[in-house]
Amino acid sequence: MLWVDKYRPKTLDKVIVHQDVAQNLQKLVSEGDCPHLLFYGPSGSGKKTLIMALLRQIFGPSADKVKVENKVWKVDAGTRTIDVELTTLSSTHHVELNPSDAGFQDRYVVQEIIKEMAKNRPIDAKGKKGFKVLVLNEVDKLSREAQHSLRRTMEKYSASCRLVLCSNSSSKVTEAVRSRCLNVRINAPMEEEIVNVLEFIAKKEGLQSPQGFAARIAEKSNRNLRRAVLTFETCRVQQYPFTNNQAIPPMDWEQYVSEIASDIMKEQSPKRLFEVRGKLYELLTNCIPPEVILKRLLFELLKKLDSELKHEVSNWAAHYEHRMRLGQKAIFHLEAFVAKFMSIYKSFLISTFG
Amino acid sequence: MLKYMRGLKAAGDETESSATKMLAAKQLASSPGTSIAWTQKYRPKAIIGIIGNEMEQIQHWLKNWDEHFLKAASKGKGKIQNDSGAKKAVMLSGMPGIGKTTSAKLVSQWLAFQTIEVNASDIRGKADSKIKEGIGGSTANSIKECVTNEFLSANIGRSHRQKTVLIIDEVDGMSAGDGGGVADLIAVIKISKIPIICICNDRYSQELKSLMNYCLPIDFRKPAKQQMAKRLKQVANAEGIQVSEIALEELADRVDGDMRMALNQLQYTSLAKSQHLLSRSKDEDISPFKAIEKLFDFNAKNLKIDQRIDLSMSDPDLVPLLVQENYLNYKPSSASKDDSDLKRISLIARAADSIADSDLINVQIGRYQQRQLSPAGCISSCIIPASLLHGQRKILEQVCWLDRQNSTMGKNYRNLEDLHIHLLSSGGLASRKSHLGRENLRLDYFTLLGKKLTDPLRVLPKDEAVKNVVDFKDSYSISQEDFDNIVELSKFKGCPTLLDGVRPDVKAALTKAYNQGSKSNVIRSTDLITLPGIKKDFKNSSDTEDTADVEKKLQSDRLCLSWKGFQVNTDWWLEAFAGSGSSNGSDKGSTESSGERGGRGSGAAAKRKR
Amino acid sequence: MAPVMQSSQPWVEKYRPKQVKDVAHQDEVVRVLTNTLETSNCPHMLFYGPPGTGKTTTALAIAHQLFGPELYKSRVLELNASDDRGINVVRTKIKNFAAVAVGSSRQGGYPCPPFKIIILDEADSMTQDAQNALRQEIMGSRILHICKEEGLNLDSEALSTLSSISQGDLRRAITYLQSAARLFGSSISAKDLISVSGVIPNEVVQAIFSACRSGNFDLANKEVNNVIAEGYPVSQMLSQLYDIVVDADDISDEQKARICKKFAEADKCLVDGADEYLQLLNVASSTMQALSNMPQDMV
Repeated sequence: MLWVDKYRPKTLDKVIVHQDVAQNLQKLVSEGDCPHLLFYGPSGSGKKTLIMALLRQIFGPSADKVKVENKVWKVDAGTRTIDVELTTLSSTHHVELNPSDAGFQDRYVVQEIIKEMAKNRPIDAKGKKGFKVLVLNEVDKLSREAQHSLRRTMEKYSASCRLVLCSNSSSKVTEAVRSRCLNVRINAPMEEEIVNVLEFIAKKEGLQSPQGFAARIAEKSNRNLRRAVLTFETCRVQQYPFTNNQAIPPMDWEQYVSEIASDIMKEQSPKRLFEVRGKLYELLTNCIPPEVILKRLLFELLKKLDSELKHEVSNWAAHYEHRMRLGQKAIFHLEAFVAKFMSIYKSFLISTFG
Repeated sequence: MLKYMRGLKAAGDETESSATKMLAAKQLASSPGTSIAWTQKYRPKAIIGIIGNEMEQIQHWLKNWDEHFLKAASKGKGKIQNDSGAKKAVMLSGMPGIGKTTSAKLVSQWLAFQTIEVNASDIRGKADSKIKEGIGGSTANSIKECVTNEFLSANIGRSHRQKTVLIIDEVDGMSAGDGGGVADLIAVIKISKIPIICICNDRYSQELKSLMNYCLPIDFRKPAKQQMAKRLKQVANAEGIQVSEIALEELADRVDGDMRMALNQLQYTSLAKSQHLLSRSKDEDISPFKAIEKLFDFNAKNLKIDQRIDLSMSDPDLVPLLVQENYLNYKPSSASKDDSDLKRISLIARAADSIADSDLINVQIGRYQQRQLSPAGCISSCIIPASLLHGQRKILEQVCWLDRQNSTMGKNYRNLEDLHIHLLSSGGLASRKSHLGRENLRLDYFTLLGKKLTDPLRVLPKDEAVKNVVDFKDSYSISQEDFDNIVELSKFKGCPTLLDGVRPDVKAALTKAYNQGSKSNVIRSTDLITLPGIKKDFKNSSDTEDTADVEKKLQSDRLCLSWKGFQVNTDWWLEAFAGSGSSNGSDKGSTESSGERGGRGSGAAAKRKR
Repeated sequence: MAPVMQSSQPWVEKYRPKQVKDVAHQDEVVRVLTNTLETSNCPHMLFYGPPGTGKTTTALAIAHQLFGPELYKSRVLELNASDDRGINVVRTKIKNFAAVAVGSSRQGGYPCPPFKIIILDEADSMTQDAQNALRQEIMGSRILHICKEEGLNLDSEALSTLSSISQGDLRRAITYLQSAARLFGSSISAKDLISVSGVIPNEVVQAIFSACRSGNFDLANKEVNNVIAEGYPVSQMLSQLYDIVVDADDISDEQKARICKKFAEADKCLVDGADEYLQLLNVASSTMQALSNMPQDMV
């Protein structure tokens, strides 16, 4: 089993990072008061881990027995019945799914599943009517309509069904939904915290890591704990015992984007643009999301640019990313960004060096 | 049989053209100047008449079907023995108009099967009066009727049954609105005693994903331009139309392999011009490639705006794509004194911006029905880039991406999602009890997964390496397909692939080990849906006892439906060789004796079932 | 016929209904208010409408009906547009009036519920600040009431923080209060309230702003990364930055205009779903350029 799964804390009391949040959640559960919750924060900060630990706290070990199902809902959309298919993970007490995978039909999924859960209310140990928990992922990718219907259904069925929403950014969750939830901000761990986790793992695995090694990994991970642990294990697979200056490998796609950045800075010509287009296509075909490509490319370019150009380039990056969201063909916008950069950079080089 | 046909082909165009000439003459004689669609009129009646080569595969499959599936059943064994390749159904997929349906019918007829054709689009909407409990959708109902009727009529005392093939056309139209059509079809395939040929356009589409597990895929490639042009020439000659080969090749190019469309266009053009010359003059129908040439020509600045619009709209889908592909290939005439390429690059940047604009416009047109923006879209996608960059053509490289990217991308995303689900449902991933997300899987996990799956193969001794990797795969329920997909999605040009430096014998050992001990416990829940007489059951996928129960029920159902053999009917494949003047006459004996028959012959004549 | 003795009172006053049910042509209002009178459950009320429709009358009538002529003087405070109703008046006069607790004994057949009434006639001509302060008054007392009921401990700093972060919205304030109580228990500090509300701590916003002032791109980039890593919503950051920029004394109006224009554009992009990091970085960069009077590139 990968370390990132092996050492994931399963209960709230074993949580290393975000202990304060874990304690608060424990308090919440012990008082029997479980409102709707919204966990938000950057990727790899530990939201999911906390959510699963929370469920464990509320429902006990039976929350761990999770089944994967491919469910199909027949939804009545006025004039016709649509089939919406989604993968759900569920235990006897909770259901987890990713409604934005349903694309435009996400609001039907949201309505239907909550209604379904409300119908089958479990009886808890004391004979009282208990509640089930519905965990919804990537709530910030839900359409506006889905979020509206979420709000209505939340109100209606709040007795039988508690919602735990998980999102990378709270600003894309509508106000109405946010105000009905307890908002829990999960910030990305500080580098020292990441180092602690890595050292914990190293000890458990019986590994010797040189001074500063964990710190270097933490720094490269950009405060993404998941990535840090994965990188750590990658280093282990690559070479053990660790050497002092062991290279910390970047992700495969990161490496490729870095090459693209070098290419662009070395030569700005139609030929080069053509080659870059090919590389961009490859990244896209290999399922790297376009906005990730653009951000990483900007990151690589900013590392190498002179300060005067940084303003302009970051300006254009924001511009093209925004338009990429509004459009359909990411490659056009990525290429336009690269072309624009080449044009700016070339004229800068010529005016500076003649 | 096949050798025989090949032999015919080898005899040269002579035979072919004489055959078709005679065919054509026949047709012409029968209906001069009537408006039968040429696609009907010139539909190949002989296997030779189809351009392309997938026939062989269908033939092979159909020939061996009996052997694989009926023999085993007749021996009364508990489970149908499938060897890894044999599937009861075959999926013919490919673009429209390249000959899938025609091939299916022809091969079936050639092998002495009677065909029952079901079209998903026809059946939809039929009254559902006979729908039984638990089965949804009228298409499935009809199919089920077809399949079961075979057995029913077989039971009613007919001693010999004709071999039958069920052809289901336009399968990808099935799930929309038919509620479970695909699932029902899968159930039918499982119990079917007759071969089933499914036809679709895109076998990678989401709806067909589960169906593909039960079908042998046969991909039809589009025919080459020259082949098409030749055939078109034959048709043109038969219709008495004068047209140049080059024009026909351009037509073939334009329709991108869709023979049906090419014939339609040819027919239309001939009707419209009442059999005038289909010339390539300036005023005539412009091919998109010509349009690009003109827009980007050195002197294109003399073109008026409406001329430019006409050029761009000559093919509103293809021209913008071609512009995007080619705008880098021109050295702009306005930047002729530009030594350092600076002017050119800034013009390119502006052109790229304009193309990006057109994407936004297209979203408005497509998603929000703002069709009045079409001219604006045309201007920003074609005219502006062309006017900025027109000049001397300097080709960088003739690579064509077009929309190939999209279908590969779609397929890759689906495979990624499959991997994602496997990881979630694996027993070893006990602590991963919640969604990881496709994005995070690809961005964060892949590098490590890839390493864990391939590094041992390079470093450890063979057996240990294989065990190591197989154990890891099992712990995360990673199937062989998933493994291949991980390798595929990690491929970047100029970078070593995951399997670089792995010795071939190690690779082979890995594949062998995996195929032998496939311990993957993940059974997709579609396995457990809608078996006749069994209620729809969305059960837990990792629950193996239930599967066994279900299988048992399947068995008993199967045994209930008894099956009778059938006899070869030889009448209709006489047509296939009309005019070829060969010795394959009316009696099977002679056809069997000539050339290699192998299994087919024995299947046709020798097999007599109870 | 002898000439009718004209009384000196204008008829408007003379025939002003003394009872709510006599108010003409306001059936709905009368119904609601009568109910109020009966249950003695009197919420804060805002009467609005065109002149001459009976707003003041109704208010007075209610007051009279609740307290009767004797208590009227001590229980009811009337402030009119002609009175001084600036923020100081709100703070002092009203506060003092409201501060004195009252008993609830019935007197002389009038319900005399245990509260006082302040009638602010022509409330719209109160100054904006006065209105805000008034709002906070209303809110503050309500909050304190809730705290008492729920057994919560709220210090004065927390109370004023609560007022400011909820921006006068009582519903929001109560929600924050409840969330904080759930997470932090019965003793709630200002910091707790801030973290629960999603408002970004001032230090963080100031850090970004100072980085922009410094003109150092890399520093600003670092701060932006920090905001994203902490999970603060960028749209919230923009509105807080906006407040700081607008209030800053050492920035020219023209610079402020340039900066705020960029905020607006970024906000729109965020609504469209653009990436938060890129938009915030872009905003920081433009702010930096505006502050150092660099020529701004036109997009």
